[in-house]
Formats: sequence, structure tokens, C-alpha cells
Amino acid sequence: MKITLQGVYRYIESEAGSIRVLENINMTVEQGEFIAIMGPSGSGKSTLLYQIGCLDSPSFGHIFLDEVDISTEPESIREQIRLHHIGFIFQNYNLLPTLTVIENVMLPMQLANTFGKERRARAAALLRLVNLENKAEEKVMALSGGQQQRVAIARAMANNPGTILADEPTGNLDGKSGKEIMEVIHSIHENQKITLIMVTHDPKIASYADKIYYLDDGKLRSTVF
Amino acid sequence: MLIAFQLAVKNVYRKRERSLLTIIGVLLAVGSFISLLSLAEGLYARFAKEISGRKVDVYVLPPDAAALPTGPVGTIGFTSDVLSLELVKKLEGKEQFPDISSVCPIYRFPQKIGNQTILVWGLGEDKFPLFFPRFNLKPGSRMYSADAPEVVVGGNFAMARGINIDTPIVIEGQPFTTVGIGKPGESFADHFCYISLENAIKLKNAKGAQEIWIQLEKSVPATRKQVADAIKTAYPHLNVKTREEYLGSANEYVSYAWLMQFAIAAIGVLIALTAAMNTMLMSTYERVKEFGTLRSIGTSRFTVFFMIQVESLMLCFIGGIGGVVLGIMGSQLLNDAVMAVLQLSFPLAKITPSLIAYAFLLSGFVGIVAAIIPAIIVYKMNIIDALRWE
Ligand SMILES: Nc1ncnc2c1ncn2[C@@H]1O[C@H](COP(=O)(O)OP(=O)(O)O)[C@@H](O)[C@H]1O
Ligand SMILES: [Mg+2]
Repeated sequence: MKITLQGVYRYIESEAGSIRVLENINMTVEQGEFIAIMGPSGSGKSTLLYQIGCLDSPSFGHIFLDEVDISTEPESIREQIRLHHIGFIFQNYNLLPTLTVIENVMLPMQLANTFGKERRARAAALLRLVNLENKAEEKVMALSGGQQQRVAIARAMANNPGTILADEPTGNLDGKSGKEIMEVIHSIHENQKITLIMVTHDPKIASYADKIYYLDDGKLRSTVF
Repeated sequence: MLIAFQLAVKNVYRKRERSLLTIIGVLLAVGSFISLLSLAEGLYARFAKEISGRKVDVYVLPPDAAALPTGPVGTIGFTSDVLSLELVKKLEGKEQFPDISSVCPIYRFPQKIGNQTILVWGLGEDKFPLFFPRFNLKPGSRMYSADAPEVVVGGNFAMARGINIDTPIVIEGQPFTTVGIGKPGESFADHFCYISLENAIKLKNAKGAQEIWIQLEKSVPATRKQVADAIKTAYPHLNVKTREEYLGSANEYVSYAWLMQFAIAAIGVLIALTAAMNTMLMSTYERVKEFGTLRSIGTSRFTVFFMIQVESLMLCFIGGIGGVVLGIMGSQLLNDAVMAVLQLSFPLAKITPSLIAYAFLLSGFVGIVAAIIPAIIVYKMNIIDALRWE
């Protein structure tokens, strides 16, 4: 999936007045590309990811997923885009604590009305992909951070999205688990031709990407190839 | 949509103690609702049975009498005014009211028999089968005669007190002999005793009848209206009602009783509603981040709204089912208490299908209203704010 941002601004209203979180962002991410966005805390990385992931809308500017301008679509369409075309990976995993590992992975498929049999088979395959096939029936809270993040990756892949957005996926993990996660993400990207945008402030993690963008105080400063 | 049910079940189970408390709240409210309203329902059912069991086209009552089928409690609806037996003769004499086919003067009085107060009715032995066509005598029974001290006993009353043919019953200090027993039924009539009008008037030293029941040649509403108007014109001070009007005022009386009990029960329901609302609001605020996650992976706003509604409805329906069971037991207890306090000879409470339907509607109402605010909050929630929520 090709992603294009044109003059994206995001202002956020707070008690201190209107804060400019993103300023005139222009970028293109080609289909199948893996890019990393780096920058200090508070520079607007998450906010940028939310714009692309249909979780938030720009104050000005346009965002295209392939040919669709998602910044002008109504919420009902954006819900469908999130469900079918985007997989989100969060820093704190954000799994549903009442569900088991495999139920968490099946959840997006249930929302998309995938058939029960197919759903379970696909979820099992995804768990194999992230090396958790033996944890399928466990409660997610019983897993380590690295394992939970792998469940989150499997969930993000559930509906076969064209794009995966990862917000500091290794931010809560130690070096070893972080590396495991990156290897999973990297191999998925290699094998599935998914467009991948990852936010991180760790240069080692960012080095997995094809391209690195720097965000500073809401401005996309420079790109390194 | 199925996912909404699954997640709701899991969440109800996750906070078991809190869910249980909410269920108990609804259970108590629905239970007391059913117990209380079963009294009004029972009253209504009996009134309806009673009035439809009588074959009366026009009622003539003293000027200040309340129109009631019979007082459920001895004295309600009674008056000291009486209708003279002269009037009965006039109504019977074909010349003034040719449409009247039969006239039945009635005199009733409460009587304590054993530890219960029942009504003793005095009416002509030849009129009885005519005006109470549904009152069937058991085999071996016969009607009382006009001047012998004889009594016919309603089937339910006879059963409750173990009365058989020839059992003596003391009425106003005079010994009476049971000559007839009715088949048990569901109207008031089945709980009372019957003697001749002459005996009743003699025992109570009365100057006339309390009510006059009239049957017409043509038992249709238009004729009833005509005859009632004719009687009113001839005797403007009397209280004359057609069958329809009489039923209407009885229904009005019952609907007041119903409303009053509803109002009391509603207080409990409102308390349960507040408790359920609090639960739903708390459990929603605790899970804002989860709802943010659900939305971020593509759950529609409608689905999360629905999820909260389902959760609340589930709690309230479980409470509702428990409440119906509790209500049926409570109704029995309340009925025993009311019967003892008011010394009734007949049970008052009745659990009707419509009452149970009301109880479930009520649980549904509590479920939906309790969840409406949290469901709207989640529906309108900004996803980013929800994800940042701590
Ligand atoms: N909902 C909000 N309310 C107030 N301030 C916000 C909100 N969202 C973002 N911000 C501010 O916007 C800036 C960028 O936030 P974010 O995108 O989370 O940065 P990053 O992910 O790079 O750390 C921060 O200064 C943050 O405080
Ligand atoms: Mg961030």
C-alpha cells in the first residue's frame, strides 16, 4: 500500500492553548517499503502515526492510502480502513486481558466476519509465525512483554493489512526481546510485502528499516537513505 | 455482533462480585415489583371474573354508594342508604319499565366466621341461579329456602373451612344449616355465603335492599342505556349504572390500586437503576483504554455502543429472572400477610403472564437506561484520548 502525506498539520487544543504537534509533513512511502521515524520524545511521532492509521485526522492537509484520501472520509469508512487495511502495534501491546492469546489474534477477523474455521486456522498460522503456537490457549496476562508484543504482531496481521504501523514496538522491552521482535517484524516484512512504518528512538532498531525519517518538534527534518 | 456478546460475557465474569451485586439490586427491585403488583393483578382478575360471572344489565344503587363489585374487604363500598322494597315492586311491574325481565334486590353484610371476615349475601332463592349463572352447585346440594335458616356456601370458602352439607354455620348469632355448596372457582362469589333476602333483612333489621340488580328482555348495551336513563328520569336521586358503566368504575378503582402499588414498586426500581448505572459507568471508565484499543483495530462505534448495552442488559435480565422467582415467592408471603391482616377469606395475589412480561420489560428498561450514558461516552470517545487514558 502506498502512503502519501501532503502538507499535514495537526493542532491540538489544550489548556495552554492550541499546540502545533505536526507541521507541514510531506512524505511518500512506497508499497512494500519499511521506514522508520525517529525523534525525541514529544516530537509528534505517535501523532503522525495516528494520522496515517485513521485514529486521528489532520487539522490541514491530505493523507492518501493508495488513491483514497482518508483525511476526508467519514468515520464509518475509516473504521473499515482500520479493520481491513491497517495493522497497529503499540508500545504497551494493548491486548484485551479477558481474552486468550488466540482469541486476541482472532478478534479482528471476527470483526471482519471471517468464518470461524478459517479464523482459527489463520490465527494458529499467525501464532506459528511469531513462535507462540504453544501459548494459544493461555491468558495474555500470563505472557512476558516480548511474548505479548508478538501476540500483538499476530493480531495486527490478522486481516492481512496492506500496512503495519508500529509505535515504539520495542520501547518496553529489554534488548534481547526487542531484537526478537525486530526479527519477527523484519521477516514478516520481507515475506509479505507489507508497507511498514515504525516509530522508534533507538538507532539500532531503526537500522532495520529501508529508510529513516527524523521528526523534530513536529517537523520532518531530514531523511537518510 | 456475536463478538459483542462474547466480550460482554467475559467482562461480566471478570468482575464477578460487582456483577453479582448489580444482579442482586435488579433482582430485589423486580422481586418487590412483582410481589406488590401481584396484589393489584389478583384484585383485577377477581373483579373481572366476578363481574363477568354475574348476569346483570343494570345496577341500581343508593345515592351515595360507591360502585364496587363487592368490597374485597368487608365494608368497602358499603352505605347506610337502602333502596325500598317499594322501588323493587315498581321496577318489576311491567307497566312502567316493560323491558325489565327480572329484578333482584340484594342485601350484604360482613360476618366473622372463624378468624375470617366474609360477606353474607341475601338474595331471592329464585333469583340466585338467574343472576349468578356461573355459580354451580355441587351434586347433593340445593338452594336455600326463603324462610328456613338455610345457607349456600361458596366452593372455595367451604373447602377452606371444611364445610359440608348439613354443617351448621352461625350467622349474626343465629344457627344456619348448610344446604348447598358451590363448585370452587376464581371469583369473589366463590368465597362467600348466601341466604335468602328475607333472612338477611330480618337478621340485620334492615329497611330495604342495598343494591338492585336488573335483567332485561334484550341484553344489549343500547337497551341497557335506555332502561338506565328511564330509571334515572323516574328516580333522579338514585345511582343507576349500566353493566358497562359499572365495569368501568370497578376498573377505575383497580387501576388506582395498580398505580399506587406501581408507584411504590417504582422506587425500588429507581434505586436499582441508579446502582446499575453506577456499575456500568465504573466498569466503562475502567476500560476506556480497552475500548480505545478495540476502536483502533477497527471495531465500529456502533459495536462498542452495543457491547456496553449487551453487558448491562445481560446483568439486568439475569436479575430479572431471579426477580421473577423471588417475586413469586414474595407474592405468596405478601398474600398470606394481607389475608391475615385484612381477615380475607380469599387469596388476593395473582401472578399473571402479563405481570411477568412487565417484569422483563422493566429489567430491559433498567438495562438499557443504565448503560445509555456509558454507551454514548464510548460511542463518542476520541480514540487517541482513549488510548492515552490511565
Ligand atoms: N491529546 C493531547 N492533549 C494534549 N497534548 C497532546 C495530546 N496529544 C499529543 N499532545 C502533545 O503533542 C506532542 C506530541 O505528542 P506525541 O505524538 O505523543 O509525541 P511522541 O510520540 O513523539 O513522543 C507532545 O508534546 C504531547 O504532549
Ligand atoms: Mg509516542
